[in-house]
Amino acid sequence: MNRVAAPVALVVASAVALAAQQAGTFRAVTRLVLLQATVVDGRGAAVTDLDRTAFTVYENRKRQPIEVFRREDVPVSIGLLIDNSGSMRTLRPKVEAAALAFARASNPMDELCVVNFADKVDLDVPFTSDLTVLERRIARVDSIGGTALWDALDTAQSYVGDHATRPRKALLVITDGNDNASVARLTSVVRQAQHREIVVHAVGLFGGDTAKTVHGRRDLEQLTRDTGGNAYFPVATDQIGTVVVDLARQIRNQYVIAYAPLNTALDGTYRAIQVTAASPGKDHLEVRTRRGYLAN
Amino acid sequence: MLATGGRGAEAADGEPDVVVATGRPLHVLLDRRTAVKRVGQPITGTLADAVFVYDRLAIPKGARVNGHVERLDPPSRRARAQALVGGDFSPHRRIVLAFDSVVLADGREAPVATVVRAAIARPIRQVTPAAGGGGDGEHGAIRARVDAAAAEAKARVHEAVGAMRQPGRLQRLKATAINLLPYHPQFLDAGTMYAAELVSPLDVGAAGDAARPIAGTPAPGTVLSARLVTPLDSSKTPRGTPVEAIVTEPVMSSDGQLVVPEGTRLIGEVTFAKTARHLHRNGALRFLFERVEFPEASTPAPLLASVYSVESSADDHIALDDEGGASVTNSKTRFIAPALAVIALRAATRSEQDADFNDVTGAPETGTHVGNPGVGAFFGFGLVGTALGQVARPVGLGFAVFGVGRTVYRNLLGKGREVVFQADTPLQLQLAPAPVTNPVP
Repeated sequence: MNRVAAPVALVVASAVALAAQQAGTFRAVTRLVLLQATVVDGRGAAVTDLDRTAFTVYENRKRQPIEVFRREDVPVSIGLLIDNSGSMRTLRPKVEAAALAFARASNPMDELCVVNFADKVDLDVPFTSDLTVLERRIARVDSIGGTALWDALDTAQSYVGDHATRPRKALLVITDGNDNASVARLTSVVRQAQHREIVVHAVGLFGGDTAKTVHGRRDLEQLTRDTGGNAYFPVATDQIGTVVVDLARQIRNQYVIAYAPLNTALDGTYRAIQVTAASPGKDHLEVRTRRGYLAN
Repeated sequence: MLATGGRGAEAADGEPDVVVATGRPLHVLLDRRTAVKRVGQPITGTLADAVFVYDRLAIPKGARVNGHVERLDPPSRRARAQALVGGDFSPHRRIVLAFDSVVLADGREAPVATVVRAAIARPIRQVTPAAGGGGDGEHGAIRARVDAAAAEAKARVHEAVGAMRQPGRLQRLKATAINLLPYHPQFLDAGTMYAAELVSPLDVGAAGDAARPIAGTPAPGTVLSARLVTPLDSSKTPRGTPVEAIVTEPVMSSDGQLVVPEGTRLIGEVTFAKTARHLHRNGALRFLFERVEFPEASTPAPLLASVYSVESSADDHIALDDEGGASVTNSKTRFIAPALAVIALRAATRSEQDADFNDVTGAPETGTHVGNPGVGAFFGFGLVGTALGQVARPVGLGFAVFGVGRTVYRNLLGKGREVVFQADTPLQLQLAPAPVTNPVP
């Protein structure tokens, strides 16, 4: 990772450079790795009142100094990826209603875009913070064709990476099936998300326990786990709204952590990240954040 | 005059005629299994699908079609070599058929000139499994239409012509046994479907009344019967390849208005193509139609339609997913031949080791064993291999080893199969649940 995308990170980098200039001896630019972290307890409930000292960050098993820590409701640039394949015909109205509920429950300063995907990928709503625009343009009545999920993520990540104006970036995928029409692959999508510091959340509408649905769940779990997001698999379509509203709250309560890697080499190697949290009186805390990045 | 893409004719009394245009394929199912003996040999078939012209029926399904063997072309060098390696000394020739006449609804036998473009052995109609994962009962009308179309598509297979399409298992077993002989006759199987394209227009008689105008729009989710114009192959038609299909059966609205006439052109593209790879990984193909061009309309209109069902050979193992994608499934029986070949080889090598002396008497063993090399040699060089294996043990063992290698490669390690749809393949397309605007000519 060779750039500091988030303003919070830029502030820190600038501060270091400024301090160096004032000393009159040398000029340095600090590279920061930005993490969005959700902490849950043993029952899966979000823990939102931890302070900086509760967290420890490791990169390739070596402890790293935390430079920035915030737990405010930092605005997010969010891409909503909605499956518009043939199998979604009967689900689209509920999914669209859930997407709007998600937007309403999010920070008003957030910006959202809508990407619909089937055999092809369409950016139907560019970034906007205007809910009326979303309400007017989110509906699609032409669900048909296959599920190019990885291609959609690839396209959405490029768009979000290039056009996002908020400090944090995230994608929410709502799909009912396995990818069956993409050129892109899951591994490349995960790498790109980690590189662009985009957290991917997913809602999988899988019914039954067939080999196909198990495979679909596993892919979404890997995608979200490796990028620091959450995967939900509601058992009934009526639960989609509840699930995404809960996700919106979690995103608003995420911790923002940035650290300056001790290994400053930009050698293109993969750096594994692990974040732990411990606090008196709170057991079995689990930190969900991205699992690594490519240093280039 | 009513015609599809060609000039028609007028009867003597001046009344317009219904003319099936040049290029329109007749899908003919062969009536009975026929041993091919000579050029000119007569054959008979039955029309698998009704032929429509614009808004009306021209030739009913089940009409009798007469033809003959036009040519018997020698097999390619590669096919000949492959057959010889397998112990087959009479490789199949390429049989070219031509259909000469069709019996119309009024009993009249009309002469036709055709060129057979494609053949599908043991045709079956693959239908997409019911789509829609929610199961909440929403959009019940669409679901009902989908179910009805599925039932209709399946019913077609089991109708009168359907019975002929599926030669019995016993018959197939008998054919397989005959094909194992070093020299064997060549058969045309009953139920094989031929796409015979008309090379000149076919006048089927007076139209009676004028053609109806296009009025209204097709309902969302409507299933259209069509034929593929563009041949597709998962290894040769990559993503973005243009695809065309032509509607073969007019669609009427619930109040009897013509909404999609026969001859309507559908235009789309390949959206996903995966080439078959080694380790028997098969190809996959998806295509989507995005525009419609009504007859005599100047510009195409937007339309979204995906594959709902497709007619293919049962031997191709084509399967459709619930979103219209086609792939090839691997038969579980593909493990049988390699397993039998390995067992036969193992038995043959053991029999050789055990053949030296009898365990009880200590006398030299000269009898024939169950697992003699001849059995293993069958997998390498057919019945000829078996015979040679009986005469010379090393030769039999050699063939057995070759047989194991060949069956293992062919069934497990080799390249999988591509998804291939020939031109004129009959298929059904389902419209998206969005309104379509007809540019009324």
